[in-house]
Amino acid sequence: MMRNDIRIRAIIWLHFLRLWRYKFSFLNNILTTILWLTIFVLGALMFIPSSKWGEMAPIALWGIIMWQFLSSSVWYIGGWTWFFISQGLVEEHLLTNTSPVPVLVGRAITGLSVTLAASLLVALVFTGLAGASVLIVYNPLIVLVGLVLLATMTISYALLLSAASFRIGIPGTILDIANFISFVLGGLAVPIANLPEQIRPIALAIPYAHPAEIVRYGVRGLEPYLGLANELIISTIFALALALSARIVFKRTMKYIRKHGVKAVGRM
Amino acid sequence: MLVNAIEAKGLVKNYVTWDRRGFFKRKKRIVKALKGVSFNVIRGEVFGLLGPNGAGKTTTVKIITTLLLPDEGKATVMGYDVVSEAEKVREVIGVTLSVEKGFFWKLTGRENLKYFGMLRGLKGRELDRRVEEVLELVGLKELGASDKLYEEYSLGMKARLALARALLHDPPILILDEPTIGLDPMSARTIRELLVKLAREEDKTVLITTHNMFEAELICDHVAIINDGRIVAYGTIGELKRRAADRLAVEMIIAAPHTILGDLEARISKLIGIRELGLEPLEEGRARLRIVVKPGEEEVIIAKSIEAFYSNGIKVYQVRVHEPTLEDVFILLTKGSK
Amino acid sequence: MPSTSIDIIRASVFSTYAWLKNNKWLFFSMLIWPYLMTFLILALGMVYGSLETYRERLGISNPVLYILASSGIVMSSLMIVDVVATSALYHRWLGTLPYLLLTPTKTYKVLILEPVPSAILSSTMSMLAILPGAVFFEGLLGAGKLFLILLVVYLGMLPLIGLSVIIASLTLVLREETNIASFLTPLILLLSGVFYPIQVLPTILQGMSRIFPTLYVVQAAKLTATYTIPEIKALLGLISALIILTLIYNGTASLALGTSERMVKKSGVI
Ligand SMILES: Nc1ncnc2c1ncn2[C@@H]1O[C@H](COP(=O)(O)OP(=O)(O)O)[C@@H](O)[C@H]1O
Ligand SMILES: [Mg+2]
Repeated sequence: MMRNDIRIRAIIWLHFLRLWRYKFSFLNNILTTILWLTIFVLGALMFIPSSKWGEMAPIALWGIIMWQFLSSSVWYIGGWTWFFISQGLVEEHLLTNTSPVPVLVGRAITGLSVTLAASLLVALVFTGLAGASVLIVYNPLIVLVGLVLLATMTISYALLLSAASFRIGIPGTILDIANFISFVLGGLAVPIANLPEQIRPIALAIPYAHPAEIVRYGVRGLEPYLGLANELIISTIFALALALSARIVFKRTMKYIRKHGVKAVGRM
Repeated sequence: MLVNAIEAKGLVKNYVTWDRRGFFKRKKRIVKALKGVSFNVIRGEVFGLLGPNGAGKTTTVKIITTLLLPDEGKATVMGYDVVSEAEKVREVIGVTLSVEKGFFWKLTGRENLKYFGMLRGLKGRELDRRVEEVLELVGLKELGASDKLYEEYSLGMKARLALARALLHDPPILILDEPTIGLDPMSARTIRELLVKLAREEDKTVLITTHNMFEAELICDHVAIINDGRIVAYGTIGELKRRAADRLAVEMIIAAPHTILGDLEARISKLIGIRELGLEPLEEGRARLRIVVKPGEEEVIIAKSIEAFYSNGIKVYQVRVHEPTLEDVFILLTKGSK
Repeated sequence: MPSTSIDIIRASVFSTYAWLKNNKWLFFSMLIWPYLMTFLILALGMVYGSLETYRERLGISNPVLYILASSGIVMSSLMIVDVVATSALYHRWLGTLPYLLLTPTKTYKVLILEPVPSAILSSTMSMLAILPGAVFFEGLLGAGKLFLILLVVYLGMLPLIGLSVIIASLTLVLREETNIASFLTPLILLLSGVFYPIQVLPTILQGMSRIFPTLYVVQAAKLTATYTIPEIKALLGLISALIILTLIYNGTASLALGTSERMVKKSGVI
């Protein structure tokens, strides 16, 4: 137990240290994120009469923040796996009886830092556009609970992708297509109630939709599609299920690696 | 008290790979990396696993270090089974798998060691003390490299850091895969001397793999020669040399542009009708050719070779006949079997 | 014997093929991306607003085709900059940079020419990807328009490659693990008004956008999506702007690369 404490300290220390040493990349990533978000938001705003911008802004902003949770987990954890494998770091960690999983999960530190910084800056842009502060929320605690549930899901999902890249090289763009789809269909950008009737069952089947409903309730007091209590229960179940499957899949992947050896993946 | 620190019995390993051909076609291929490898490493000795590239050295090391499961066979380290007691095995071994990777680029040598030390449960003063000790031991302190970023390290420094990490938790057994490959003579010597010192003074057991005979002759108590997934010889250096005692080694320095070396070996082998030969590039477009022959045959072979070289426009600069070295034994055992 | 441009391109065609072969998923995802982007914007926009509002704001006749074409342009610009700017990094990572620098010709030529096949491939692919969409909306005329846009995209590639080489030089000198200038692509695209009229941007930004090639490519796409037959004169204006930019950027790039090559060799971060 003691030893695990030290391990976790080591991993957190590692990721903060790397964050600092790669500060240019860090700043670049924040900037890149903001710019892409602005392009799409500007595009989407062109569909909406200016009079409705104020009402739209908070929902759009939080949709974007939640999307960032998703895509940063995938990119920072899933994407980094390539580096981790090719540098022989998987073996070096196994030799110390440390599973690669916590080290990969630790990348969420980097991802969340970028998300946080980018979200705040985009919030400023939005405040300018909408003319009112968009960061004032209705119930911060509920927002936090929703975000924690969402983070659990996205990190588990990222680990599943990362496990997959131990076996086959999955290019980043593929990872991102899944992100894109869940942005709209997964109810991140749009309350489920606003989706066309036919699409709602799909959205309900996508795990992210549920914490998203919780977050929107916390932000604006919008009644969740299935009610707050139900959404909390469903989100928890989905989060646990995803975390569990990530665990199982990774265990099997580690077995696979011990059987077949670690291979370098990607463009090599 | 155990006599053997490491025991391997009948290790078999097949890799599955896919050859890529065409846009959609892939073909499954089985690579038989190990075909039944057995050997023992006695406590407190320096043991060398010798073999040419692709012989199966790394595969063997990975199995013994618990990173790879054998398809068949069994291996134990300090009595622990590498498959069922992997965690215990990992506590008693220090490993270097590569001299050029396995660290974080933007961390200094000291920071990298600290990180891996923490993963092993070291902390506080104890951690700092061990980190300083191993930095000192491998000579990184002396080189002033402790606080340089890993990405700025020379290969020699990287190799030293890898060894330092292996020593961090003071394990009784060191398993090192080609620890001196590509290093300059000074770094290689430092590492070799350190290994011998650790074995003699601190009673550590050391297993190294290498294809450098000179190195094996210098530091190994016992060696096993592995070729094409099989152990083809085992013994002390002296014993192995005696295996070729009834042979003679013919050594020729010939002209060989570096660009055609690989092809040259096959060509020469065909020209003179002998397969047990070794070719080693030298400076200035020359190469050293070694042939192992039975006593009495040397004159015919030399005459035949010179004639063949002459008619093919290959210059011969020097010819020498001597007692076989370990390298000649190696050539005899590894080239002949294919 | 110095390598000729043909040698470099041939080698690069081969490595692009080999790479695609081993990364088939990437190949297919290139075909899907423009549709995904279009889907995203349309879906977001239409849940809260209407296509009518969009049509009026942008003053175009076929918004869906326009968004599709813009997405294609976004994708190909992204890939071009990415391929060029990252190729130097990849080479360093794989340890092939020294060999690249050893190719018996100017490094600048190698860096510019090497990514050309994959750049042409990716822009053609992006445009081919949206061909079904174009034909669906406007039949053969749609295909013709798309071909026109593709030609402008090719032309727009030239200054973009120069710009990317400048970025690549920068990344090499700063020795980061990833492409630290990846923000430039979305910046350029943002300023070019890909999915919206650039008039919504502050005036300073509107002025800045003139120095980026994508602005003219996007405008050409807009022209073709606005009228049944685009005005040749307006197109010619855009084309000459692109030619001027090509000269400026590639000139600067060759200087920048020379400098960074010297710096890299000096500091030994190969
Ligand atoms: N992960 C792998 N997948 C497929 N083949 C492998 C893998 N690792 C090694 N091999 C093959 O197994 C054989 C033995 O390799 P290795 O143990 O690395 O040899 P050595 O270390 O002696 O050079 C070689 O033919 C090599 O190509
Ligand atoms: Mg090896």
